[in-house]
Amino acid sequence: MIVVAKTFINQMTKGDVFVLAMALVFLVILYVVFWRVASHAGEYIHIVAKGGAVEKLSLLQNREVTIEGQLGNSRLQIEGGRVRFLSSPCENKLCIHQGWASLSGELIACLPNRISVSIEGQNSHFDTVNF
Amino acid sequence: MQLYKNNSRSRFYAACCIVLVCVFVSACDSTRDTVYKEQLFVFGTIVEISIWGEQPEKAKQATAELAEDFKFLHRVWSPRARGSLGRMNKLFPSKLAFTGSPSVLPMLVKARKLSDQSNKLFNPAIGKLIQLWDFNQENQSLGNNSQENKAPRELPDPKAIADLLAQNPTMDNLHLEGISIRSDNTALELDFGAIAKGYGIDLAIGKLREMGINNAIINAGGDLRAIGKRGDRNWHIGIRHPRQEGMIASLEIIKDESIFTSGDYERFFEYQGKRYHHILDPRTGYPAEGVVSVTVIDHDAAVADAAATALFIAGPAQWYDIAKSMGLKWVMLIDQDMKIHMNPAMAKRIKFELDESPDIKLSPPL
Repeated sequence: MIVVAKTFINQMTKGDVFVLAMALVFLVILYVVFWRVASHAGEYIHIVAKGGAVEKLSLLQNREVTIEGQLGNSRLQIEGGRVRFLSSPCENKLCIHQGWASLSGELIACLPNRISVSIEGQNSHFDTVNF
Repeated sequence: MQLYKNNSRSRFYAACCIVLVCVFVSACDSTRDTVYKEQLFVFGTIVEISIWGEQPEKAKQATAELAEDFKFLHRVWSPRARGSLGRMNKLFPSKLAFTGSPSVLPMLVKARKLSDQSNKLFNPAIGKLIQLWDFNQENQSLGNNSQENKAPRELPDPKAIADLLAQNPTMDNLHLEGISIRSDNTALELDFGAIAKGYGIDLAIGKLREMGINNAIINAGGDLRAIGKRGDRNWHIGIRHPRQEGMIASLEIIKDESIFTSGDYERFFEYQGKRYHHILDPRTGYPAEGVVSVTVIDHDAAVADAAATALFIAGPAQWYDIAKSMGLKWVMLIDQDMKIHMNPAMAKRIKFELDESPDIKLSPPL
């Protein structure tokens, strides 16, 4: 067995190495796509604002995003696979009260500012959420 | 430099590469979401429409039509807008008979029946009381873009509340003959806030069916009706936890069902440290106490809507009797101590999403 492997390695060309390297790269991509992302709570954030303008953002990042709504700018915080409203120019701040959303199927929104933020993914935890 | 030593090996590797790429691409394709989803700011809330198994163009077209319908319904059903219901509400105090609007009468008749069944706990005739509390100021009535700073919330004048209670407007004050209608109570103002969402969802589901769409969910601000399936599995619905992030429970939709929840967390304001939510008890004129949320499953969204409100007002002691008289099959009530009251059939199909098992009190079968 070892002899066979040794012979194989000795006979390897640059092309062989290239192909094996490609296979490894593929493996890593497959791992990231189908394991890390797919097993994650939600896959991406789907933002609707200002009469239909749509933005898609990864949930796997840490950042703050400013979204322009009907009244002004709302700020969203994305952190460790979850998202919430940080601030909004609305009166009652119900959007901030809703807290974090992290599961696909979840939706948080600021009605006065007409911004909705939903989490969508292929392996949905929930098809939709009742509240 | 020779890249490949011999032809057969390079062909073998090339084949491997192609297979890999194929596997990769097909894996991507097979997991592609076949649910068409769109969020609409209509009907005074967010309406989320999910459609499974249709061409995106058809789903998009259907969604656009529903959006128009919801906008229309919002206008004609607003209690004080220049629409059908607003006009009727202006005419009721005259005590004269007039022709009721065709876009209001069918819902009115249904609401009257549900009001009766709920022992008047669901009472759409208390529009004036609802205006007094003015939760719609909080509700950011879409369409009203003025957002000047308003004074901090105050409670309504207790005397005004007592006056309205004394006049006791109910659906019994309405007299309907054919399409002619009159009220014999000057304090009556209709507000269908506790049924319009359900009724509108029912109409929208009917429209989807007419278009040949049989697998869909219409979720209006958290309350929904789902029909059909998502491919080879049932629609899976999460029920949000009323006091913390994430879900309290989940369940699957069987064929065609509506899930409605009334909660004290949906619309509220705080005054001197006390929370005042939007579900008013018509017996006291104040927000109903003792309950955090009520979830009702029913085939009919209008019934589920009115029932969730009625049972919230009924509270832990009376919900069972009212549920029985309304002909409900599945109810869950969470009281202020986070104790879960439900009937056995509900317990059977609901799956809790909590780390520790909740405190459950089972009622007799409904």
